[in-house]
Amino acid sequence: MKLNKIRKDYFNTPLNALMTLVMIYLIARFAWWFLNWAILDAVWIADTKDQALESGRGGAAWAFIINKLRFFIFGFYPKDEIWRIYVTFFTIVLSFIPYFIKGIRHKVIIFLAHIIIWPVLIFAFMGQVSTNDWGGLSLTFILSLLGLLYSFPIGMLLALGRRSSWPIIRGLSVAYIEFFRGIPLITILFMSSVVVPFFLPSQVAVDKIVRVVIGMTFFQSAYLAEVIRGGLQAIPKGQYEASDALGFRFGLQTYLVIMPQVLKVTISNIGGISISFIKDTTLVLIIGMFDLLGIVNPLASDSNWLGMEPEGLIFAGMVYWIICFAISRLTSRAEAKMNELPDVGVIK
Amino acid sequence: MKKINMKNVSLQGALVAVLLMVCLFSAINYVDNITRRNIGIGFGFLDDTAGFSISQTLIEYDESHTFGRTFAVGLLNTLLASFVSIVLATLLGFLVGLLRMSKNRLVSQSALVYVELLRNIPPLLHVLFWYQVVFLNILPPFKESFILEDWLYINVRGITVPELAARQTASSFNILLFISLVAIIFLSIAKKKQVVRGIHKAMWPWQLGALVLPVVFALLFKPYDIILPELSRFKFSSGMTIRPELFSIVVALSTYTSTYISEIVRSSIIAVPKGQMEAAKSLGFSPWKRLRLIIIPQALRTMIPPVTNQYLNIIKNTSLGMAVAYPDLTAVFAGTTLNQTGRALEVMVMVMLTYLSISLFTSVVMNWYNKSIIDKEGEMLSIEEIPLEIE
Repeated sequence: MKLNKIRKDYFNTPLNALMTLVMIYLIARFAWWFLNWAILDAVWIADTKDQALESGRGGAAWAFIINKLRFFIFGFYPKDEIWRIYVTFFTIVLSFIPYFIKGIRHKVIIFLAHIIIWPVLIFAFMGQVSTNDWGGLSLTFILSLLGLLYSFPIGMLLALGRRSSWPIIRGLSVAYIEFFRGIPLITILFMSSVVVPFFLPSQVAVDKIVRVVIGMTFFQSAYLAEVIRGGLQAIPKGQYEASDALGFRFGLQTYLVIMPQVLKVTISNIGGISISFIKDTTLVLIIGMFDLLGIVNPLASDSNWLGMEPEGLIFAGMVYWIICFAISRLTSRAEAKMNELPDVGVIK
Repeated sequence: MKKINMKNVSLQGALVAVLLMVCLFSAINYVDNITRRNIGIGFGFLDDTAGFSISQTLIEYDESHTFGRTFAVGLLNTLLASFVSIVLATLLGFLVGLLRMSKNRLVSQSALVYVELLRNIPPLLHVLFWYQVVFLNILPPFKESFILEDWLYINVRGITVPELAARQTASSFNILLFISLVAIIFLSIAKKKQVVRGIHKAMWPWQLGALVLPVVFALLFKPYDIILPELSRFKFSSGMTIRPELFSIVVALSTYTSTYISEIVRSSIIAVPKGQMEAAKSLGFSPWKRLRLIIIPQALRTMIPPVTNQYLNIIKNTSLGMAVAYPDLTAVFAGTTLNQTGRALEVMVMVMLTYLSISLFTSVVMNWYNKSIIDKEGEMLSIEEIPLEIE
């Protein structure tokens, strides 16, 4: 019975049988090679590359990662000050708790509080150490968190602006969105690192990370605006008409009736945008910042660990993969859960 | 007459005023800053001698050319990498998308793993991986190149293949080839028109004939000399080398983007109503014909707008080549030229406007193609055109 099914699914035509056999062969070959390289022949404990080469059988030198783990996570942040990063991130995680408290009805207030509190926390508290020393995974998180935080409200305003009946607002929104969607992020980062200082009075110096976050926010809010506009278009006209008939003004209508539904239908797209935003933060390596990807090369030019780029890149790739995959799973779960909610407007 | 809402007008006016103030403030600061640092203004620098070399040039270029020329070189390199990546990503994306739908679970699950694995990793990491891991660490050094029959040399410096040198008959061969290609396309259009009228005449012998002609010409007159790569001491004295930077950026972008294209292909094929497939099956179409004649033409309609977005992403992502020193527009012009001249604003404005116009041009072309597909409601015959002698 079972054999029959296997024959029917995998060996029903010569082509299919050939594909099955080729796939089995390729997968087995690759899996065996990878198992050997990554685990069986790998070196886990060594102090230098030479030691690792002596004790290993040609496998991966994960000892490099283990030795340099602090730099991969905290960058060149001084060892005695790392508690500042711990405190900052711990507080940021704690600041999510109010979202889950049932008593708070206007969660927007929490969001507005984040907009003010997070940067103060990050730049006043972590900023005791020069931002040149920031790096590694913590820098990746800071760039992604701040960028997402600010691009949300701006993206919403732009989406509303693009659908506005006021011609100047609409024109400006369209120009903004199309401009930033038409150019690569690198050129924006170049602008923010090379050109923007020319536009500021010579006495004013804005920190590089701040400029990068602003540039990324500009870029990302244009994409977010398009996603939210798609959601706005999906809202049935009746919702507008009904809330108009109930006497809601524009602001209240958007806040209470339209936006909640928009967020509901766009959640998976917003998840996708967040993922691409996290992937985009790697570009800061081109303007000389050491995020999780950017720190691989400086670490691999340590004379004890010369030429360890493959292990470093694969490790960074695994971390990015885990983060992005987790977000995509989380958003699809959130979407499923949202669809279980009663439709907006049902009174209990 | 339309009522003018004073509140709206004043609010928009205030917004414009604020924006103008910001622009004015920036302009004043800019002029102040560049006079302080003794940087000129304007695009005159484009005529100055560049004085640096570029590793890959599609047009003639050396140190004595101008900065304006570096712009053209970089732009052509960007277009080359984008074009090759777009073609490869489309082919790979279609293949993976179709494999994802295979009934053979081994195949479809492997395709799923390919998609999930590659697309959750940043594209920049893909580029660095191909460059630093595959090229610099796995491939053999120059002296121990991997050699295939004197035709193909693979080493850390790139992939070297034979180069073609034109002989006298080359131009007539090119014309002949062009004519035969046009003839083949024309014949397939004619075939489609005939099928609509119920005439089934085999066209492929004619098409084959059109193809044979240039081949025979090539065998008789040998329009191109094939020059095999030849090693002199430290470099190849002949042959064409695909540099590792170009190879890395093309492979990285086409595999990365193919995961997105494969998902688009899959979802638009699923979106074709099931009845179409069943109808095609019951009419006795072979699996390949079902796909080619019934499913894909309908899936193309939903496919084109999102695929256009991916093409635009590829064009913008070629700027990642900067991380591996691929001399594209960003690396050459916004990188080296900017550093040499110090004209940050002028250079960046040129680069951004160029990318913007490439993006706009691509979306205009794709919109036009999309429209031409959507507007087509099947080829209809007027009543006079219908052949009456149908048996």
